Amino acid sequence: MINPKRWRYQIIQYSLGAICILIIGKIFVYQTSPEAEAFRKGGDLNLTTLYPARGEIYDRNGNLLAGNKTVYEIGVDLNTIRQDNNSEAIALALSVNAGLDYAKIYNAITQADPSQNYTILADNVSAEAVDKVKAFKIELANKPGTLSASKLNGLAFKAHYQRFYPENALASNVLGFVTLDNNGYFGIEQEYNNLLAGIPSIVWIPVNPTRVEEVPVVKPGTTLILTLDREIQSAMENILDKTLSDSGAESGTIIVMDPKNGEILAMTSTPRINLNDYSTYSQVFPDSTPFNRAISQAYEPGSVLKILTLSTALDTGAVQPQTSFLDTGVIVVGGVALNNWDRGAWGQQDMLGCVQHSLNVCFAWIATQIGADNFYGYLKKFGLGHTTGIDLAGEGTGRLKLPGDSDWYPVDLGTNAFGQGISVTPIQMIMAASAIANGGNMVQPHLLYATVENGIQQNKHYEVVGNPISPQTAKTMNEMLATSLEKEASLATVPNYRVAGKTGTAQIPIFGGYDPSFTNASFIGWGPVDDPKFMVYIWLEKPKSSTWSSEVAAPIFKEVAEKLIVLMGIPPDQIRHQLAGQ
Amino acid sequence: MKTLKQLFQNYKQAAWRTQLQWIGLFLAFLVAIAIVLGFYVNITTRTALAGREIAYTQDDLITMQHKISDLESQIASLTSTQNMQERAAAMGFKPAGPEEFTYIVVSGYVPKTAIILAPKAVRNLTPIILPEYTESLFDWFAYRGHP
Repeated sequence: MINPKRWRYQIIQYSLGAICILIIGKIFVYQTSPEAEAFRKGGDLNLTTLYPARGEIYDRNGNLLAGNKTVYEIGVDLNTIRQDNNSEAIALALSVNAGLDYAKIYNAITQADPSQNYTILADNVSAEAVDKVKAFKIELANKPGTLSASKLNGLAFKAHYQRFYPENALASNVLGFVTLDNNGYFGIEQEYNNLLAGIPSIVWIPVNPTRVEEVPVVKPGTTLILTLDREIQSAMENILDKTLSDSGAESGTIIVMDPKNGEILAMTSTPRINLNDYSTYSQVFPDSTPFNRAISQAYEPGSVLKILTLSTALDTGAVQPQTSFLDTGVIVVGGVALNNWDRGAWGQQDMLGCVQHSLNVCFAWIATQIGADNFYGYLKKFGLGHTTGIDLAGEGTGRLKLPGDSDWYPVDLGTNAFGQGISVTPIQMIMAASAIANGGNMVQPHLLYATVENGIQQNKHYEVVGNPISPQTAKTMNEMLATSLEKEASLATVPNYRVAGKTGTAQIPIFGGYDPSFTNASFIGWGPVDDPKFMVYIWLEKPKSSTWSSEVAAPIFKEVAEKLIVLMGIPPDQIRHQLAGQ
Repeated sequence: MKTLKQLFQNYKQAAWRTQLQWIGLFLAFLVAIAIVLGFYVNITTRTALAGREIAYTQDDLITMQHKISDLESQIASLTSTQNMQERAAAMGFKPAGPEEFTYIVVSGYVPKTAIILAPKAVRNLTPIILPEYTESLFDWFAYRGHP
């Protein structure tokens, strides 16, 4: 018997069959769609490199010296562009809103290889420009009736970090800069590049959203806190710029260091560069211009080196402060006659007189009393002839000729004693002098105060790198150098504060002799003498207003010291002694 | 055998009834599969949504990190030395000289020290080699014997 209502079942049967066919058909359409093809081509996993943010750099008071800002890579999905045919619209939008070159953008899109899916149109585009483009894109998308060819479909923005220096050129000689490939050049940026850059992480991110996998947290680079004081740095740069303008010097350098622990409070030299525009590097530093003269450029320092000669003589017992010397205006060392700076004879002098009048003849005699072995042994102990180890890239060594070297002659013992025929960097001199100011303990100059990593601050401890002289010698030298400034009525003296220091006027070696017209003017000084808080090194190259350091560099020391007194809050000696007595 | 015979018998007598039973059974099976698939689709969708949510959150996190960096840089720019000096000058301030200072004694005054951006590292005083690794078997037995 045939069921009379069989047709009902047949309808259900055919309907189910049709639904099955529809489902299978739809699955087939999905699987063969261009989107599925693109998905398959992309693979199950996307290889992505996650770049950490570069570590920040702060000064000792927490002021940001180097940070990061967001910039964008602008690219296009070429498949979408080919579909919508909107390359002109994109080129125009980027040209108007982001200031990019229309032709360059248009060509980059239209001349892309047909096998390419994505192309980068521009990189390091500012956030402000990208915001404008994004707003315009949304405006077009929401505008009814806009043709696909006029929309900005396919335009993609990828944010990443770029180094940013909020202080522009401030401390540029110390900081160095970072190029677009996240590599540090010069200064702190190069020296601590590995710490600052962090470690990029390469991860596979599943395309399938159901395959959620933990994306590793990329640790940012280590943050550095420097010993620099932004206010002092700024003041020193202003003073140096004004000095160069007033004196007509070719270049200049100022270093301010805490002589007790070697912390560099300020370091500047010329020229300086706006670190946010490092592309001008080759114009600012033409030929072989050093990036930071304070550590890289060695020169004959002249009479500032006499403080090391006298320290050596006192420490070895070759002379005493009251040792007398008859200055006849000439001394023959190694068969060569050496004269004083004024070619005059200064008669009977004690050691204070010799240092006060900066008598070359007396110091050449002192060196002969010390003897070559002792003299050069002490200079090596003071750190001359090798780098100080300051944590900045590109430090120079200077040149300390030693007996036995092919270019050392017996006369060098005499000339080296007053700072000629020997080359040092400013940082070497300030490190050597720290032994005198700091009771015989020579400290290593450094810029890193602390690192901050994983939320933990690790402070760096300073190092005593040698004891070239005894505390007693250091005390005697401090007294002599302070008294010599006072007796000389030096332009370096600071009212109400006792400071110690020494000028240095050095001839500049040229091929076949010394430059007859120009000098290097230097000054090294520190204060207050009984409890030094700052040590300053000044070097002016080829000043034109005067060739004498006592006239051109000594007043700068006074100006620097007065600024430091204010910025560091150092009370006058009398008040300080009263307070100490309470 | 008897059951099989009965089935054939039934089929011959009223084939549609047996067919109906089979169709019912098949539909019940389909419904069961549909329910399982429904659960599967539901869970898969929720997982996908959660996955997307996590991806968006990660994107938000990165965006916020970028914003923080931008704001820090912006603040640093606005408070840069040059800007602050210009603002101070515009407000009528001028740099003080050493002679313009008056020093007074302030009991309990703590001089300015360098910045602390994060807690200092605490030295871990725990011995690197634990006693468990240094005690002898006899020590261990002794300890076990006299806790």
